[in-house]
Amino acid sequence: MVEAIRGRLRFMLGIFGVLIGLIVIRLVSLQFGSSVIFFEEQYQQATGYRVEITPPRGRILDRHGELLATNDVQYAIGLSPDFITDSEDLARTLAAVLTRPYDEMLVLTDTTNRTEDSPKYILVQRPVPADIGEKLLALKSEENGPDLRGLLVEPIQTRAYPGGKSAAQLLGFVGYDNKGYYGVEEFYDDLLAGHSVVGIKQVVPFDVALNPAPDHGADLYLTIDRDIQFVAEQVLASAVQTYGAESGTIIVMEPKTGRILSMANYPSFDPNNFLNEPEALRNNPAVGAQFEPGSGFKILTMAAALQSGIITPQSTYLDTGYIEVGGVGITNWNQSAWGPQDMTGLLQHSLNVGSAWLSTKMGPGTFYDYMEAFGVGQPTNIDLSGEAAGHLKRPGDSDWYESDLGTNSFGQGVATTPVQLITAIAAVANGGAMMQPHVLERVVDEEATHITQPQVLGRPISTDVANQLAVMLAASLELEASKALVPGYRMAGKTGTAEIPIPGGYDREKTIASFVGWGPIDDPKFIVLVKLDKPGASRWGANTAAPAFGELVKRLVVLMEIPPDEVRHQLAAGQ
Amino acid sequence: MTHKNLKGAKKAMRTFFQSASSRPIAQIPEISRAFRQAPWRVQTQAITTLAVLAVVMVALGGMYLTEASKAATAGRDVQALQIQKSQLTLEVDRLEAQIAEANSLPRLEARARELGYVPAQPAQMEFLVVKGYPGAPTVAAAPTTEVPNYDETLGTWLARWLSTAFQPGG
Repeated sequence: MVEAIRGRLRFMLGIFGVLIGLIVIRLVSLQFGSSVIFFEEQYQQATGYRVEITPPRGRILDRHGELLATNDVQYAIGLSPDFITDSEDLARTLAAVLTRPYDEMLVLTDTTNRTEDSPKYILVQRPVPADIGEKLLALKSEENGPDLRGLLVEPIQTRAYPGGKSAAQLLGFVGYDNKGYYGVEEFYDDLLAGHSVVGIKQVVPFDVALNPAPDHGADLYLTIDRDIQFVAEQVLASAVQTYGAESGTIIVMEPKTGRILSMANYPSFDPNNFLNEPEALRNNPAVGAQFEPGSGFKILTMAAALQSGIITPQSTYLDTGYIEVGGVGITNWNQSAWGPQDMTGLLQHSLNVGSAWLSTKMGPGTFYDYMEAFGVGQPTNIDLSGEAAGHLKRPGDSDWYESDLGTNSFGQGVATTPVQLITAIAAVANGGAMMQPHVLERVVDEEATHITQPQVLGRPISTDVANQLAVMLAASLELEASKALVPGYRMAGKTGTAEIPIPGGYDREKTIASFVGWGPIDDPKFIVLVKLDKPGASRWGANTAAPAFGELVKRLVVLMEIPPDEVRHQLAAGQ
Repeated sequence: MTHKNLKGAKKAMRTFFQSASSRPIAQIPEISRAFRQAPWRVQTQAITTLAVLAVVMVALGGMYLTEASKAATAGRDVQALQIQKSQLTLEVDRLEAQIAEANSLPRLEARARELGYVPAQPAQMEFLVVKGYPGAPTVAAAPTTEVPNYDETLGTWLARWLSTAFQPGG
């Protein structure tokens, strides 16, 4: 009997042992098996929720560390209608704080006709300034304040541009999706935005843990000089108004490095308020607007002619006031003959006939090879979004005619962008080396500083030719007593007046006036392009863009601490 | 007790103590059995064991509760600090934007004009040699040599290799 009971007990003990073993195995598999992730997620869903942790966007600063773009806080005001208890009180408060009509607010806060399908969230206003958002938050937390249940006041990170319209097209802006649009903001969006991470926001304090830190956006230091940018914009705005132009662009660049010191456009827009600004103003005309450069292009034609060896600076030709190229007659700007001219005279009087004579003497192969070497019709790959390529027709293209060889030589029938033109001409200022234009000086992230090094794009002409041409251009400015000249400083440059192509020909009334110049010619510190679109006061670049250039350079030499040539030479000799 | 019994008892006692003197008490089965079997001792042992277990469990529970409460408090503190950090970050952003706005050039220029300043002209500038002053940031000289594009084909490489490989001394 006792043995039987002991046997049953052992049997039961065995069964319980097996069951306990199974439970232990199951527990171990749950604790360490593949289902861990599932249970972890279930637990986290019950005790917390996933949040995307977005790092603060990197700032944009000028070359001296002055802020051009930074982060700011604004608020989004919304309603959660299911939680509204006093729609009239809420509407009254919103109307008073947001200075909006009470009736309009009441329509939003009224919950009487709500159905199952009604939205769970109603946006009242976004963005609102920080002080208004904080006022609403303060009212919400007041014990005896208005009943604001159902009101949602959420901070939103926004971008602030302290300079307002200054350099707006260069900088671009950041949308409410935290993405960069246009300019630097778009081109370097990846660097500026950093990398978001997904974290868990725990509701249970016991489980609170530190979330992973996102990679902060890098700070970008641009080559832009805020002071030069400001002065360039002032001079440009003044020139546009004085000469009755529609719009304009000024680029200031270091010819030796390709650093863009200023890129001013007029009109501009306020990126702090981009939603209410005309969309057409968001594009950067300095890199995106193609235009026929006109006589400024003669610098490149002359450079090609000198480099190819078909002429020297002392070469002469007889200007009869007319030349036929490909069956098309070409005349000078004043329809006159200028007689015997040397190459400096050609540049000084900006003679189309002489320029066409040079290109035909070179022949299409040589001429277009040089234009290609100067990067005409190709994007410069400047680090800004929205760059256009321009257009250079070549023999063999369906739209190229023999007459183009003549007209292209003085900048008609060829399309460039302002940045393309200044980059090409900067090669002449820089002893023949064409530098990559760029706006990024350095990137500073949490780990290191990366500095942009100047890069040579090409060497279309030799140093000797570049120096000869610079002296010829300086002499031509002095001989014509150009309005671009600044006392004490020897500079080289060339005006441009281009007719604007329209369907069926050219607009005879409107022009694009421009001036490209650099200085001091023995040690170029800057090259400046001034472009005025459709000036009303005068159609000639010599009367509009050239004085604007002079006005700018007067301020520029002060800002860049460039002494007059005589003083500079004395200082150099004394050291 | 008779004399015979007394003698027997004495003998037993002698034998007992003789044997006991050569062994430890714990190994003396008679004594050990006598203690073990004492009911008061069994009860005392059980109560003591239970008491120790209870104390240990209470201590463990107390420690767990203390730790849990500390963790929860720390969690609350972390939550509060995270909120404070977010608010401070927003505040810093806002202040930085305000400083930048106050430092913007249109504002500075307007203030300078109010104070009677005007933009300097080149003719008003006087340049002096100051020892140790590096001057305005100088422009770095452009690289004089251009890095050539790598455009060598297999054919040109082979030709170059053949031309150099069979040169005398090369």
